[in-house]
Amino acid sequence: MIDPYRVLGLDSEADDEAIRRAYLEAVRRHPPERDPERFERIRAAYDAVRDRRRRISHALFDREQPTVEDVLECLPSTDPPPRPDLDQLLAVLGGR
Amino acid sequence: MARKDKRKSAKASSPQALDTASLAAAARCSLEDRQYKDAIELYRELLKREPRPEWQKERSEAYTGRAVELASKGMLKEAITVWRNRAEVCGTPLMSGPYPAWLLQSGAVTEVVRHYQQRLGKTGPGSEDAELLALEAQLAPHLLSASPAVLAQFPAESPLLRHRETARAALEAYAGGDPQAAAAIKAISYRSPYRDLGQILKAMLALTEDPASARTALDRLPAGSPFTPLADTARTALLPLGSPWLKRVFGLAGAEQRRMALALKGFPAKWDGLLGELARIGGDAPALLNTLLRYRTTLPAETVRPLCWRLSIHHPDGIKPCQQAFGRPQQFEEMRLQALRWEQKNYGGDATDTWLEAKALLSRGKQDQDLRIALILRHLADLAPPPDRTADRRTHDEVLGWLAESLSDDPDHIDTIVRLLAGYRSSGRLKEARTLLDDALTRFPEQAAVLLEAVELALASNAYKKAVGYARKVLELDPINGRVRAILGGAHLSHARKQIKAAKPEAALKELDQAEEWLAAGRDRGRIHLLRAMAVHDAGRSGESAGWMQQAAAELGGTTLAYAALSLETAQINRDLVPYAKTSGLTAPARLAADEVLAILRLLDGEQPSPRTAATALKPLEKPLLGAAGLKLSAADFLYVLEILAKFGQARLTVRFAEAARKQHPENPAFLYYLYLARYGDRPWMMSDRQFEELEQARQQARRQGDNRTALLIERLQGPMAFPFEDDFDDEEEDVPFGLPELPSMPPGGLNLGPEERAALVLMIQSMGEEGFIQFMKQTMSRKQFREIEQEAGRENIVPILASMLGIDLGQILSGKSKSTKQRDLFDD
Repeated sequence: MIDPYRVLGLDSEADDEAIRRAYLEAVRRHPPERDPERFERIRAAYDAVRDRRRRISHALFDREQPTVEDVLECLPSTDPPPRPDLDQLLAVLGGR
Repeated sequence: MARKDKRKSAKASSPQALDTASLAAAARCSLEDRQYKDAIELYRELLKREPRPEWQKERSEAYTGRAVELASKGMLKEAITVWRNRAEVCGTPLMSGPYPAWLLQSGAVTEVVRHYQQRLGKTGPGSEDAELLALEAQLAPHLLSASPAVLAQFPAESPLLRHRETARAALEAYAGGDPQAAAAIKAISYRSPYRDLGQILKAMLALTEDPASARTALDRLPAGSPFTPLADTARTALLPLGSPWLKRVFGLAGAEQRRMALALKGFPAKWDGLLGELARIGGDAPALLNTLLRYRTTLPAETVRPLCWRLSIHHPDGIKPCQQAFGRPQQFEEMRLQALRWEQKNYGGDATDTWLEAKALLSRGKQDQDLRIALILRHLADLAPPPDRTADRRTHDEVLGWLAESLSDDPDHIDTIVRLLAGYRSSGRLKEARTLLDDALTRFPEQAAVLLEAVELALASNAYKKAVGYARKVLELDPINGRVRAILGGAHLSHARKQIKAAKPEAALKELDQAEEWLAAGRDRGRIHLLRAMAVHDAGRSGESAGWMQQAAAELGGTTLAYAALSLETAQINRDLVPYAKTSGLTAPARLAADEVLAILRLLDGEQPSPRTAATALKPLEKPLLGAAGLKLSAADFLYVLEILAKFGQARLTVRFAEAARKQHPENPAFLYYLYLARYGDRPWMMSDRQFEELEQARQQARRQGDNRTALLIERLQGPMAFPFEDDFDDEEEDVPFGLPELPSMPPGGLNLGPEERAALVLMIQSMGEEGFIQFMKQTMSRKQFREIEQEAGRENIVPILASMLGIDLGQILSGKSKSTKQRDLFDD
């Protein structure tokens, strides 16, 4: 878990309360029965930063190698993504 | 002649040179082997000689195969040409099979429309002609964006035109974010040639909010639907962000599909280049770092910098590439990254040194810095080898020092308090443990973990009543706490054994009454009954003994296991098994079933006796165990049996079971390892070249099979780190289980030193301890030299190897060696 704050949609200054609220909100949006992979990431993110000791520990000692997935998560993107426009849809359908 | 040879000979000589029968056979083989290009050539020659209809048919199949093969590689133009040749040469209809779809994909819509019109002219409107319906289906996606001129070529009653407006309205409603989009999509009729589009749009509406229903909707799409490119694109959005997603996206055939797939995850077009590179890189850290550094100016700094610094831990050039891009980090950060790099390379000593240097840069009292210091100290304790794996008291004391210091910066960390208490207790520093415990109990009176340590410490201090008090408190807080019951019950059992050994059977029976209060599990009750049988025998009440033993057998799983347990108990207290067995009516089993073998070894493993005790306990069972080696066992069961036998130094049994295991599971390289471990563990140099080669092949096989554990064990056996495997137990030092690579065994005289040099080295190791000696080596050698030794031997093995080469007993010369915590001294009289 390279950037747990990003997974929870927080900045790195967030406190215990903000982190807990963000976690509960994220779990509500991605419950395990509907989106198990996302839920697992959310839970791992919360575990990594849920109190001050864990936050500092994560910042000091986590040496997990960033993966393509981490880079993708850190790239600026639109959330929720916009729907494709008509031209794009027609192009994929082979018309243009 | 085998098929391969036939084709080979047809290829080797020209088709013209072959007789017709060979040529026909070769052509058939090529077709069956999907060598379509060769098959076309061979059938051409064959048909020149004789125009047989079956050869004509097979040539057409070869053309079809070749065209489909090319199309699947994205070579549409070439596929179209082959299909046209097929029609020309074989006389098959041109506008058939996948041909219209290829034409449409390559943009030749007009050609397909022309054909559609011709077909419609023949069949008339409203026809159920299969070819016409297939053409309609294929044309549908293309007509959604067709020009008025193209549309004008269709008759007004054509379903393609009649349903087109509804489909187009649904598409526009979805794309425009119309809240009525769902209704517009629903309006596409089931009989419409656009009905697959409706299914896909329904799925796309649910992509973010309800991915499961989106997946279900897409899965319902018929195979070969002309709307598949849109469905495939939508499907990528259901994958989580990551390499598999990227690979799927960049595996899509069209550029438009790829762009839409990226857009469906919210990525704007400007990241397409970077994303394409990421798809190629996969998990390669240096390549990932280099790519990010190249894109660093276009990526937000707060994103790219932390990722790059983190990747530098895994980059062979360390922080250099990042330093060139971003400048030098702050000193603490530089140290931190360096320490993590050492950890990554398993250089524990260097990592510790660097963390200590980093810690020195922090100042107490500043916000967060106290906690950082405490966390670094605890991290150092985590990095240190566990106390039972080092004979160096200094390291253990250093760890306890770090933990204690960490509590001065962060006093409320219960886990550290408990760890420090256990550390003090195991190293006999009971006074310090008590001081820490008193403080912890005042601050955390209801913490079960602290109370459990209080129980342990009270037992270690012979304060049994106090221990029971703490235990009862733990059970008040946590009525099903099994550990506290096991600790107290185990202490009573241990004391009962001592009383039996000291010929005080009545006292032993009292202990067993108390043990019964704490231990409820069947196996524990079995042990209690068994010890009762022994105690009543010693008390002269032999009549009761058989009854208790029967109860013990019932709890332990039968008379065979009761006999094995009795053998183990008598071995543990140095008593003769025979009188107890006779009184209890137990006899040695003549043969053993597979589950009994496993149960006996589990019993041994659970008790963890010394190798000598284990040998005594197994002696009466050796014959049936040897006989049981031929029983049918799974590979996993054999591994377990061999692991335990090796652990307790049972060379003869190990050899027998390893040989049987090799016969039953020849594919498993681990069994050769156990065989040679038992035969040559203490003298690997005695192996013949052939045996060594055989072992090497087993090692390579283990690596290939991904069995790294076996590969590593074989490497140890091959190297100087051989396991001492003995048949007798005359050694005084029986605490070291000799099936494990605790100490290396080397031929004597491994170092060419004079007596004075040898004595000096011994003295240095003795006075400095293991870690001190390693530090001394580090200071006196070049960094490179030391690193080579550390890499070669592993840091924790440096001193044991040296000691072995000097022919000295490391355990003996290190006076401060920590004792095993297993044996409690609580009831020493």
